[in-house]
Parts: sequence; C-alpha cells; structure tokens
Amino acid sequence: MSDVVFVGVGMHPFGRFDASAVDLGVLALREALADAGVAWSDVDALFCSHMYAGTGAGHKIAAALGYTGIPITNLENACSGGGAAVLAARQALLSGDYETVVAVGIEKMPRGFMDMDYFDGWRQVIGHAVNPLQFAFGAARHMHEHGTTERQLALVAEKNHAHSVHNPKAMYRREITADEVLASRRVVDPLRLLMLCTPNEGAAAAVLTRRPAAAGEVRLRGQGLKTALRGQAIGEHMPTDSPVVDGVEGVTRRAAHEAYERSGLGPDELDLVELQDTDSATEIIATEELGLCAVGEGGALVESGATRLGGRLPVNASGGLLSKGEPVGASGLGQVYEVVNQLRGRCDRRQVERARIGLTHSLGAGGNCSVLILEGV
Amino acid sequence: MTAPATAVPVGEGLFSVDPPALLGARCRACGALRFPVAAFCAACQRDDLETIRLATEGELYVFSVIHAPPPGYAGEVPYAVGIVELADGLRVTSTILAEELEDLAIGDRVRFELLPIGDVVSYAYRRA
Repeated sequence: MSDVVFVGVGMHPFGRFDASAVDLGVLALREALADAGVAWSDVDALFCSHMYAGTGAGHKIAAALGYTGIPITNLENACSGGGAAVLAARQALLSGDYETVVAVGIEKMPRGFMDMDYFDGWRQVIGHAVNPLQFAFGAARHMHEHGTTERQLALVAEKNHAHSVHNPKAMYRREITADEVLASRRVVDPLRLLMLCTPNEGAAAAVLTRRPAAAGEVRLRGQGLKTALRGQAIGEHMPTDSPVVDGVEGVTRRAAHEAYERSGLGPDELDLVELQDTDSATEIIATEELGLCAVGEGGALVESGATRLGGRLPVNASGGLLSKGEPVGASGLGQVYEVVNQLRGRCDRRQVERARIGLTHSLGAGGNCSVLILEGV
Repeated sequence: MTAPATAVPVGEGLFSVDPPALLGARCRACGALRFPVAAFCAACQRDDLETIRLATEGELYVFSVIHAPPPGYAGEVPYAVGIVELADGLRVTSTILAEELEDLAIGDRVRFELLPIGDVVSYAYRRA
C-alpha cells in the first residue's frame, strides 16, 4: 500500500521580522526541500495557506524559487489553513496526478486583536468582532460547568512556556510562572494577556510524496477536516445566533473522531500532541475533545503534569502557540514541523522519548478544524 | 432607553425601535428561527419566512467583559458581550449591560433595550 510520506519539513522562526511573508515562505520551503533532498524542479504542485498575504502569494514563492510552470493553489482557512493545505496536498498525491507536492504556510499579521473581515461591518461597530471573545466564552462556560479554575488556565501557559525554552524557533523563550500569568492584565474575561497567544509572523513548509514509507520516515496515518454544526453555540464560527439544543458535538471532537477512525488508532496510542492553544482554555477543552481525558477533566489533566514534557502524554512540546505566537496561515504547518521532527527524534532537549505517533490539531475562523495523525515508521 | 429620533440602526433586520425588540425570521414550513432576519431558511432551504419580534427577556448563557477596544468598535471599554438564551429557543449574541459589569453571572435574567453606540443605535440586554 502506498503512503503519503512527509519527506521534508522546514520552518522560519515565528516572531517579528522585516522580511515579507513571501520571503519567509521561501526560506521555510527551501529548508524543507533541503531536508527532503528534493530539488525544486522535481516539485509537481504547490499549496500555500495564508490569510493576510494578498493576491498570488504562493505564486510569488514559486517565482522566487524559479518559474517551473507547476499548478499553484492558494488556500485561506484562517488558523486552520496549514492543516487544510496538507489535506489538499494529500488529495493531489492520491489523485495519482503528482509524485511530489509541497504545502507552505505563511503569515505576517498586525499587532493586537485580529482585524477580520469575517465579521459583518455592523458587528465591528458594536464591538462584537472580537476574535478571542469565543475563547473567553468557552473558558467561562467550562469554569461554570466543570469548576475549572483560573490557576488551571494559568498552568497551561506555564507548561507551554517551560517547553519553549528548548525551541529556538519560538517567539517567547523564557519560563513564565502561573503567578505571572495571573498577574497579567485582563483582556477578555476570564482570559488574561498571558493566557492568549500573540498574532505574529512566520512560515512553515512540508514536502510530501506518495510511496511506501521507509524505516525512519513519517507518514500520514489519518486525518479529519470538519466545520461547526448549527447548534454549537460557542466556537470559531462566531455565530450571531444558535438554536437552544444540547449535546451538539463540537467541531474538534468530530474532526478527531474522523482522524481516529481513518487511522485505526485511538487517543491512548498517541505519544505527543500539538494542539491549538490560541488560549489556555482552548487547550484544556481540546484535550477533552481529542479524547485525552474525560469531559470536565482538562483542568485536572494539566494540573497533574501528564501533559508536560516527561509526562504521560506531552501536549505542545514545541511551546505551543502561546510561546511561538500564531501566524495563522503558518501555524498548522508549524505543528506538522514539530511532530515530524519529534517522530524522527530530532528535537534535542524538548524531544519526547520514543515518540512514534503524534497528532496535530488546528481550529480556525468559520468553525474549521483539522486533525492530522502522523506515524514514524 | 429611548433612542434619539435621528439615530440610525447599526444594521438592517436586527431590531425594531418601536416597540424595542430583536427581530428574527421564523420559517413557516419547519419553524426554525434565526437572528438576524434572513431571506430563506437555512434549516430546510425554503423561502417562506416571516419576520417576528424575539423575546425581550432571557437568561445569560455566557458572557465576557472586554477590556481592550477591538478594530472598528465605536463604543467605550470595558464593556460586556454575551450570549442570551431566549424562551423562543434561540441563543443570541448581544451586548450586555449592568450597573456593575463585575457582578454579572451566568444565569442572570436580562431584558432587551436599545443602545446608542457612537452615532448609531445598537441593541443590548440589561441585567434585570
């Protein structure tokens, strides 16, 4: 059987830079090609995810590397764009039309709250166009229903920042204590500044091919891409309304279910997880929805230390978005970069021991969620 | 609160000024409700909708006090936005008002009112 194999990955550090998003993408893609040992002239198609980079960003990356005439597709799926680019690359390979394809995610974002034309103009004027508001709603409901505490929210940030010390490509690389997090200023209650990730700049890329994976290589084992259902009251679709119904499954749970089904694996078989910690509460909720613990126990899970490096199932060993920042079109591929390198044993002091199966999870505006399960062969 | 006669609603199909209430669309075929009003039913895809006034009282399902002004916002900070659960069977996102935002709690009873923001009129539910 033929596999979709990640033969190379590259990442430009996430942070603030003078270079353009396209420039960052060129650097990340060249690193991925070198890692793969694949020549640009052997790439058959390119998929580029971004939200702010304007017209033809993927085409400009290709132009910089040299006009080879390949098909280029730009994708906009907000924060889950990287996952969507990988899935588009997979479909291109499985079509049989291409041998080797690349997925590259790039972004260069303004500071502060995201200015999103996703929201109708009237919602902006009256102050409802607040991107992290949905995270605050999720946090508040979780605290109300399950007794999750502010300290547990702070512990997520403490954990991920502790991991970031070992990641040279993260934007923030110092330890931050839970007390510092709890002393940071209020932004969207109950979330404080250090419980929220920073929109920033960066790029990440992967080279994929289709053939049986060789020993030491990483293959795609399963994937799920879903959008929110009407009735999910809180989420990245940021609805003006929803019907009063209970028991509607959240988009993360549904995407994870699909990825587990396709991979034939379950949460107990994971060795590491890179998930969408746009904010501390989303990490706690995602650990539940990905099936890493029972509903309502996400706060206790982080408190137990199980999701720290060295724990039972490290979550966001890279430092997560809380430490790396979130260049939205690139962040999903940044997760892929981390998991591929973890499965190859290349992560030095943040290496998860004996890592064989890893999961990525990204959530984006519109109610998108992509979940990828990768396996080191 | 009574809105100034000259004030312009921030959007079409959001609320009526007299009497003050949110507007919704109810599907005559399947009964599905939406806010704001819509041209067709997203539950059954039929075109047979009627515009109705939504409940002026409800319960606070969730809320957040926002301390930094988002892009395009014409009002002041801090302010609260929440989701109000209406007896109609709909949850709507709304600005939330209270004497003391710090005292708001999930489950609070809230009542509809019009809310001037900048030079337009918007809508809110106020803690009763």
